[in-house]
Amino acid sequence: MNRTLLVTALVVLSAATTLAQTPKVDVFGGYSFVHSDPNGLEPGNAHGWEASLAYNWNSWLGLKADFDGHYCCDQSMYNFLFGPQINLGHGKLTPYLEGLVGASHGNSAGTFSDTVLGFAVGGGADWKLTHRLSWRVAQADLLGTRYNDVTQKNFRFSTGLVFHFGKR
Amino acid sequence: MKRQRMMVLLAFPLLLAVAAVIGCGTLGVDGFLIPVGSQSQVKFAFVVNGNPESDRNSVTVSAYTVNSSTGALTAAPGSPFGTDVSGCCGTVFIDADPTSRFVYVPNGGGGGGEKPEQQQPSPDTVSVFSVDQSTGALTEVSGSPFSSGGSDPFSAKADPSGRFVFVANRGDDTVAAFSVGSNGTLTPAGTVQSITAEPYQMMTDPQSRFLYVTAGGGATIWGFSINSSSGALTPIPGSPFFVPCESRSGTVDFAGHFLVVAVRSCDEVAVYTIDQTTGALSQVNGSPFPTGDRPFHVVEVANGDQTFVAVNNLDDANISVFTFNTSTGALAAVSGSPFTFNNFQWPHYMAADTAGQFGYIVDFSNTITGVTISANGTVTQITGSPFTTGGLSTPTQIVLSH
Repeated sequence: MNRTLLVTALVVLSAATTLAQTPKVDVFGGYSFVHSDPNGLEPGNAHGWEASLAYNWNSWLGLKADFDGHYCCDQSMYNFLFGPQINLGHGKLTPYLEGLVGASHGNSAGTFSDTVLGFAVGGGADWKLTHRLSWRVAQADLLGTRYNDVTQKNFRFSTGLVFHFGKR
Repeated sequence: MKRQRMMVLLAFPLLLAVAAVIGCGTLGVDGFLIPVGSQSQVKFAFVVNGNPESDRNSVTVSAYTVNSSTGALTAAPGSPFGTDVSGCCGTVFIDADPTSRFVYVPNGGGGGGEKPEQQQPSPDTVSVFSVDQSTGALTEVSGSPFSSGGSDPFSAKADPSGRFVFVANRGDDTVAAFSVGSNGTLTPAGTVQSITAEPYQMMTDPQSRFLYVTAGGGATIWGFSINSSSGALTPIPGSPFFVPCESRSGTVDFAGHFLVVAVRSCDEVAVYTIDQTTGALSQVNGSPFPTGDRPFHVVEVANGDQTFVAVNNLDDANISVFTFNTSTGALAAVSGSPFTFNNFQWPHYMAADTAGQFGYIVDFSNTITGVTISANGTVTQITGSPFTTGGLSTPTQIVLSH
């Protein structure tokens, strides 16, 4: 009985993690939303976009370059972040975690402009549509910035399409 | 499998549409994406040295750099700086660009005096000074002074975006708007607005949507919408709004939801809800709230999650401190309020680093008291305070820039 269960578990795990081959490069583009934390001022809800390129070193570890832009309230914010993405499987649903750091550039009505430290910690899940295409169902991050030498802890949500290239 | 893919492909644009609708529904002109201006560290302090004596043409502006760690003030080289304010025996109210580019000085009659020799015609101009970003020293910009758009300019107010400046002219009861060029040049914006009372001080909301003007000698507050492109003013429907008694100065809270005004003649502070669409004012439940004798100015300060409102009481020579309910606008006196210090004679004006680090009170003892506020609202002096004004004429106003 125990052996049966073990074999069953292994088969299920294999199906979930798929022995579908890991793509070499994942390119994402889609809609992004930020709920800001402007240190005591009235928070803003900003529309925008996000794009990223992840180079998968192996089946579970990739290196990601992430770019986004958000617009609200006569202000704009662009983030340029880099760091590891940890893939928790490559089955029908591929969850992942990420920890990114880089720069954030903010502009307010043409009178304020600054480039500061930015970072993002979070994760998401991709739903495989075809061999070359997935839907990034949801990605949620704590998006941190350091305007005015104070940390802002913004919330970022993104969704969109992921294109896969190459094979590992 | 194909059906599943189709369902997912169809769900994707649907999810995008839902997200866009939610985002649009919550996206408005409210709020900030990045914190600017008031939340950044204070760099400079500017003090108006008024003139209660009989000398003419001696209203000056002192400039100080602010130590971001200790709050200590250091006078800028060449300070104090002369102005074109004529007459004597009073003051004008200046303002600084929120990002420390310029200081605006209305060159009015300085309050005038009773003696004939103290009367001077107002030049009816506004001087614009550029600020040395290292020392805080002031230099008048090319083309300054500029016409104030009316008679006897008394107060100036820069909007939080730094794009516009507003001038209250008490000689003809008008309020003029100007756009600010990159070199400090003032260009008239829209029509000069007439009000039926002598304008005193002006306040804007953090989002630069609305301008409010207190009227000296009258129990009214005049409200205007600010055109976000030009800076032109349009009266808010329902303006003027009535206050219990004569008001002097005040502030709009960080979120732009409430206007808090010192009601001088009734020894109260009044809190108004700001209609987020029209800018119309209505008093909150419980307002007005009692203060000390002759309240003059209001500042809002945050310390962590707690927000406070402070009011300086001229005749009691102390400061009333309240907790501020950012949802209802209600005020409640903190334990130990009001606060006073040994050097207080007539604490005339206050300014605060709104991030809660430092506050300053100018007093007719020719001192500037530097304070901090704790998480429970207790006000204490910073090291080195009070700072002297070097024996200059009575300091009547202090403004901070970031």
